[in-house]
Amino acid sequence: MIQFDRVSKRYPSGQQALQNISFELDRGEFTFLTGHSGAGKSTLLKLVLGLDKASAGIVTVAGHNIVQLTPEKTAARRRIIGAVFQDHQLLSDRTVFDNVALPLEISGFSQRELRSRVRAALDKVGLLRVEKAMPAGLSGGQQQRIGIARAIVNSPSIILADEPTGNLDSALSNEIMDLFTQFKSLGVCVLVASHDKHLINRFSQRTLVLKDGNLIADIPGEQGETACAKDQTKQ
Amino acid sequence: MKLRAQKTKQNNRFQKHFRDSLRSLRQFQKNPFSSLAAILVVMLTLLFPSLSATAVLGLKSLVDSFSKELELIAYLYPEISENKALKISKRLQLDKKIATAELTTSTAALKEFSALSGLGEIAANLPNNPLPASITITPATSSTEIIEKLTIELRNTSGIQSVESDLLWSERINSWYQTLQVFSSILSLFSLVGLTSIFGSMAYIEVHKRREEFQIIHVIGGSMFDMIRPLLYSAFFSGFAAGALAYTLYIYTIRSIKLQLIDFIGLYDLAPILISSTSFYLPSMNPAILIISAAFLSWASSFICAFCLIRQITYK
Repeated sequence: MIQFDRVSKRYPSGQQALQNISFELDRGEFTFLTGHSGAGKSTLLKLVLGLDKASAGIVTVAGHNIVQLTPEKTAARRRIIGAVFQDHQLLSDRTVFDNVALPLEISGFSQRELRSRVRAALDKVGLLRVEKAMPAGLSGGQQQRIGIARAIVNSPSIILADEPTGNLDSALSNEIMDLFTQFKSLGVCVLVASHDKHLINRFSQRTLVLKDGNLIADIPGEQGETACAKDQTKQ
Repeated sequence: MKLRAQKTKQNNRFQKHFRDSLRSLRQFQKNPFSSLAAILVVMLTLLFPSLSATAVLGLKSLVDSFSKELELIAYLYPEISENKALKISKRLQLDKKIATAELTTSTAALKEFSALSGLGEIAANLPNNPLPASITITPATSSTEIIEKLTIELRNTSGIQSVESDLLWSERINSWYQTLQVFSSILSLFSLVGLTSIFGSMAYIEVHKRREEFQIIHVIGGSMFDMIRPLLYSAFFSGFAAGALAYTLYIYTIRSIKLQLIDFIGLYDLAPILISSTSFYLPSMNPAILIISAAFLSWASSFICAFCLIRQITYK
């Protein structure tokens, strides 16, 4: 589903964000992307989303080399990806319903289908009762769940989450991660960037470890816990 | 299957346009005062060049009517006999530059004078007829250059003592027309720049106000057109409303000044010509031209400005 082939990213300032990264993520695979702050996690997610272009190498998303696509085609490809952010990125002047409906509006869904899909997504994250509320009046956990509802409403093939539990307590973090693991079972490829070692240890999934822009470890699911712990000790 | 997919695609596109147009209209509802202020500014920007263009067209019709009705009167020497006067008149009729040449003999001129002036008795007691024979000439062309040449030729024709024409008035009005035409063109150009700047700055403010929204739309897969479409609808509706209002005010202004203008022209002894002439009018602009061009200009200037700004925000 996602394939990085010797991908490097160097910013115009000269900073080397990623260096010679190669990995492959399959359909229905849940993967953590970890590393310290500035290791290149967000840059890697941006490359998958096509928000940034790789300086070298090939980034393939759902069978397409994203580097070669035009901005319009890249935007269309982005619609098969559900993105969740640490800062939620919700529109403060729109209701919960309208925020979740945004990807469907972009895809041009009819009003009827849009309503049923948004309600289903809100129901999945347990926020159906606040559909008419404004995001600012809700808690951080609820806002994050709105972000997740918006990410899943278009039935994406890939979910990318950048520090989705960054501002949440551990109970809420577990709740959010449980939601992500449910999508894995539906065949969605989930990539979660996090530097929360406890969270990664608790879910023991495949883990990609980045350090200073280099992929220093690709740890399979069951061993993720120990490997990650080792990496954290090293740091 | 392919047809169904195409139909769904078309429906999707229609849904997007429908939603964005409704959202744009709701923006007017949300900010009624600022929207109205912007529309009024655009309306005034459109009104001035429209009025000046109408003045130019009105003056053009005046110039045309003058040229069409321009007559030259050639006065013959008093000693020229009626037979010779008739020969000169017939010779002039053969000239290609002359449409008609009508002779008024000195006897006919005196008769006419006696009848119209009320001084018939005095005229009848005169020992000699003091009035010369004259030939009223209608030029075949309305070109002032050719008429000027014709006047000179007539002055040099044997038997003709003097030639009088309305050419001076025609030249004066023509000069006014040309000056006003230049003024109107410059005003239209300034208005175009003004209109582009107004909509450009409106788009600029709107893009910066909705910067966060555009960034989110970009991240979740919205294209440039998904971001720009609501702004374009807003600009189109503003332009349309401003065009419609400008036209209403334009018609009101034209109607108000039309009678005043005829009175004013009357002061220059031109009223009989204007009133009798069917070719003179103060032409009203086609409402479709004003409204459609306003809507299009606002749409285009918003497109250019918003496109560049959103590109800066999302693609860099």
